[in-house]
Amino acid sequence: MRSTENIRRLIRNLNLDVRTNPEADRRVLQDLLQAKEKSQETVSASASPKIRRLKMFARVRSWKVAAVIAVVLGAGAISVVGVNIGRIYYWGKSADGTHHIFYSKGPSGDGFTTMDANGVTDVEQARRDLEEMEILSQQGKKELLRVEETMMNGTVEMRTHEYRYELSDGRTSDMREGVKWGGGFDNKERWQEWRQLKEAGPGKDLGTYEETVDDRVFSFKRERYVLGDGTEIIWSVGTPKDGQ
Amino acid sequence: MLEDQVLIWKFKRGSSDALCRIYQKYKNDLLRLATILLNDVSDAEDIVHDVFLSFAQSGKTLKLSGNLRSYLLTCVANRARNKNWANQRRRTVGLDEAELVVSDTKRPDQWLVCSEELRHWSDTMAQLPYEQREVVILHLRAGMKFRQIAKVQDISVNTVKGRYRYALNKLRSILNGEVEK
Repeated sequence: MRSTENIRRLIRNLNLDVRTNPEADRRVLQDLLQAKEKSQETVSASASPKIRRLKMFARVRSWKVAAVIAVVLGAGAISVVGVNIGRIYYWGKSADGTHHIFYSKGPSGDGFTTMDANGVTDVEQARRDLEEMEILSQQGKKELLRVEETMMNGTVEMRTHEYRYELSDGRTSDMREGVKWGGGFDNKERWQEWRQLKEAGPGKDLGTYEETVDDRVFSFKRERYVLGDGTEIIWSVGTPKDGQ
Repeated sequence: MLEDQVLIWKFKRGSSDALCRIYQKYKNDLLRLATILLNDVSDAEDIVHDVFLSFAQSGKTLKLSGNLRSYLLTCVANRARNKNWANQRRRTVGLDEAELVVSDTKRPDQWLVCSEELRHWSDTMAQLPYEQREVVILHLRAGMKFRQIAKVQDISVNTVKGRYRYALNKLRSILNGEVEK
C-alpha cells in the first residue's frame, strides 16, 4: 500500500525524461527568431504617436487635452507625453467601492476603464494586462465579439464594441470599448431610469437587421424603450452572423 | 535565477542568442508539463511552440514580476487549460469521440520524444479530472505554491488545496490498484 505522502514524494522525484528531435528543434528556433524580428518591426511602428489610441469604454476628451498640453508646455512636453504612450495607471476605487479605475494617458487620447471589483484580484496584474491589451489593440490582434448601440431620439448616442484579446501567457480577456459617446447619458437620472427599464424586462421588439462591422456581418436585435420624459431609446445588440 | 535576469535583459534588447538560450534551457520542462497536462504529444508540442512564439514576439513589452521559469510554465498551464476546454467542447458535440492518448506512433516531423515513464505517468494522470491534475502537476512538478496556483486558476486557495487532496487520494487508489494487479 502506498500512502498519500509516498505518492507526493514519488511524483516530486520522478525522472521524466524527454528529448527533442534536433531537426524539429532547429525549425522551431527558426520560427522564434523570425517572430522576434517581425515583432520588433511591428512594435516600433505601433509605438509611433501617430497610431490611433485605444479608448476603453470612455469619454473621449483626447484632442482637447493634447491641444492644451501642446500650447501650455510646448514641444518639450510633447516628447515626454509621447514616451508615456501605452501606460496605464491605477487610479483607485470609485466611491461605491465596487470598481477599480484605470487611467490611460497619451497625446491623442485619454481614457478610463472600469473593472468589476470581483474581477480584479491583483491590481498590478490587471494593470499589466491592460497595457498588453492596448498594444494588441494597436496591432489589430483582437476579435470583435459583440456590438451594442444605443440611439436616443433617433441619434446614435453610445456605441460599444466587445473585443476578445489573447494575452501572451495564454489567458483570454474580453473588454468593452467605447467607440462613440454622445453625452446624452451624462444625465445620471436618465441613465438610471433606462437601466431600471432594461432590468425590468425587454423593451418592445423592433426586429433584427444586419450590418457589416470590421469586415464581418453582424445580426442586430433592436428593442425600444420610452423614458418618463418621453425620450425614446432604441437599443441594438449585434452578434456575428456566422456565430463563431 | 541571476542568469535568467541577464537573459531577459539581453532578450529585451533584441539579443537572438538570449532567446536561443532561454529556449534551450526551458523547452524540456515546458514539453514535459504540457504532455502530462494534456496527455497528447501533438497538442503539447503545439502549445509549447505557441508559448515560445508568443514569448519571442513579446520583446520589449515583456514584463516579468516573478521568475522566468514560473512565467513560462504558467503560460503553458493557461494554454493547456484553454486547449482542454476546446477539446471538451469538441467531444461534447460528438465530432471526435476518440480518447486522448500519448501517441505511440512516431511522426517524421515529431518534435518531442517521450520516455516510457513519461508516457506511463501521462496515462495515469489522465485518469484525474483536469482541474485536479493541473493542481498536482503545478504544485509537485512545477514547484508552484498553492497561492500561486489559486491565482493562475482564478479560484480560492482552499479550493486548490481541496483539489490537491482529492487528486492524491485518487492517485493513491489508482496506483494501489496497479500494485494489486
